[in-house]
Amino acid sequence: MGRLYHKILDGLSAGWQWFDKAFDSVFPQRYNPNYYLGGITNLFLWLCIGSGLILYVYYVPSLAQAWGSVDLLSRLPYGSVMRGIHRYGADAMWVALLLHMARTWFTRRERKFRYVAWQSGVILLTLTLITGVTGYLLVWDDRAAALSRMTEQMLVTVPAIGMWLANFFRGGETVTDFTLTRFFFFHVTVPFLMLFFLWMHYLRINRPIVYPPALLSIILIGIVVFAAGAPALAGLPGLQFLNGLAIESGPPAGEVVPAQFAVDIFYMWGYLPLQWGIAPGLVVLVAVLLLAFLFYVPYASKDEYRNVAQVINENCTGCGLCAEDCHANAIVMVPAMNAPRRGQKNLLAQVIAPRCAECGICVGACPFDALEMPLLRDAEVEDAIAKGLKGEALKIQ
Amino acid sequence: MDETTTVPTTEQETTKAAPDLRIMGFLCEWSVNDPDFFTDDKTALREMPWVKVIQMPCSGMLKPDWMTKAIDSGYYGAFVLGCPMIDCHYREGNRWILDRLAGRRQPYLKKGTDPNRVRSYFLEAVEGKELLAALRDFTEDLKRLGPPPPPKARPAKKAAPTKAAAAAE
Repeated sequence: MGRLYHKILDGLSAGWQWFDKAFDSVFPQRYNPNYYLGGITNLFLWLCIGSGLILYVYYVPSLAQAWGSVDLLSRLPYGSVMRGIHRYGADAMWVALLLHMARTWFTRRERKFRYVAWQSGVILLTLTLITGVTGYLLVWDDRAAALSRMTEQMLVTVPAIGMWLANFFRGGETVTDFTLTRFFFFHVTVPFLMLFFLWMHYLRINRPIVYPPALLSIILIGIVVFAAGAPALAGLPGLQFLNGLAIESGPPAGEVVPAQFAVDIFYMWGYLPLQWGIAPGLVVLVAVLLLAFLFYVPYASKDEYRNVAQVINENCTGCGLCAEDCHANAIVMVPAMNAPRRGQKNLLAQVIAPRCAECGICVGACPFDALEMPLLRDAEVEDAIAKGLKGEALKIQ
Repeated sequence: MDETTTVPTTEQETTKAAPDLRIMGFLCEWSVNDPDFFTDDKTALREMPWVKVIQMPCSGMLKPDWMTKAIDSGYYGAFVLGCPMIDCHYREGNRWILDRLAGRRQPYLKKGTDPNRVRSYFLEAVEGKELLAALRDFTEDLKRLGPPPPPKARPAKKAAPTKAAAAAE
């Protein structure tokens, strides 16, 4: 089982490398978007927060006025463009997030000390999904009414707290003005929670790359802004197809909640099984199992910490170069017990084992041979250099 | 390339008059790492047995001193292989070793190490062919350079980095 898992991931890793190479042949390597998927996700998050703040000015969270306020907003100058940026920015963020997760997993960057980043990332994925779905509810057209009905159906199937969850989601036992206030609350506060988990996401990373390079950022934002503004160009000859990008709300939600609606694949895919007639309880169960599996992924490789860097205290001068170079914040400089020698700081490097990536970067960073890897000691490297000199060679005539 | 130069010879056949060309490679485990690529004991490349290798968890583990040591002890040249820039499996290791070899980051490559005998390659794991092509070029260049000069006497230990040097970082 374990070997099959590794074999599958090895294949996916190789596949992804060809994907990287394909991008490399188009982009200069420094701008390869594959290397910045996490930063791109963050960029789109802030694009959504920025455009959301402007939409926030006009939105009225009440049953009677929600649909009208969105409609008014869409008819303001650039209002529909701003709505488009918010919507397509969110779609782009979801795509970038999934690619970021897939790439992290397939290139085996989810293991061991990276469980902090991975598991906070799974929470961020869930929160992104919640924010995305509640965004569709705010419009309060007939699709939103159907979505909220389906969400209630799913929530009540949760054992013991199901009813409470449904009432919490609805803001009461029936749909009232409080319901839209509640949706608005979810849509605005969950991103704040995301900021907290983003902090956790970066916690073990020294010098995280949280944005792509400026040029790439401009291009990516430009694509989203273009998609948002494109329907305005649909009047030009030959460009009618751009109308497909226009964001259209359904009629305002009435007494009758439709059973079927147009599913936006980015955030509503979870509702597809419900439309196919699968029991809501089963959908919830699958979702919970999927989340549990994602939480388990960092442990699936059954890695052990066997090669944690060791500090040779006598050689350590306290210069701090290893702590500077460590990418996982695994080395801290602690006060040394001995009296300071000339030209040295009174510090000593200490490796925090569970944070150690076992990469040996600190070994390369140390000019004083004060760090060693237990499975590849300096002497072994020097042995290999000496042994190689006795082996086969290319004779020069 | 004439045939005699490409056929590797064993140590018994070589003499002092015709010195042996060997290259030392320090490889990252996450870059080219296909077992078929190496000899069974993983100390040399299968297709280019004069290229001796040692695998490390990350190219960032390489001490520039090891490169100097290899060239001083008789290798024609030394190279480091890491993941593509920015995409280091351990995020920054390949950037650090590139900066070290370029003299931008401590610990530096020792003075007196011929920079023409030191190369760095940053490739994906699937780019074995590209690595072989690059090493063929490197071998040709080293043939032209000839055997490495005998090492000059160097101070045994570097001085501790001063505060000014740390600030310059």
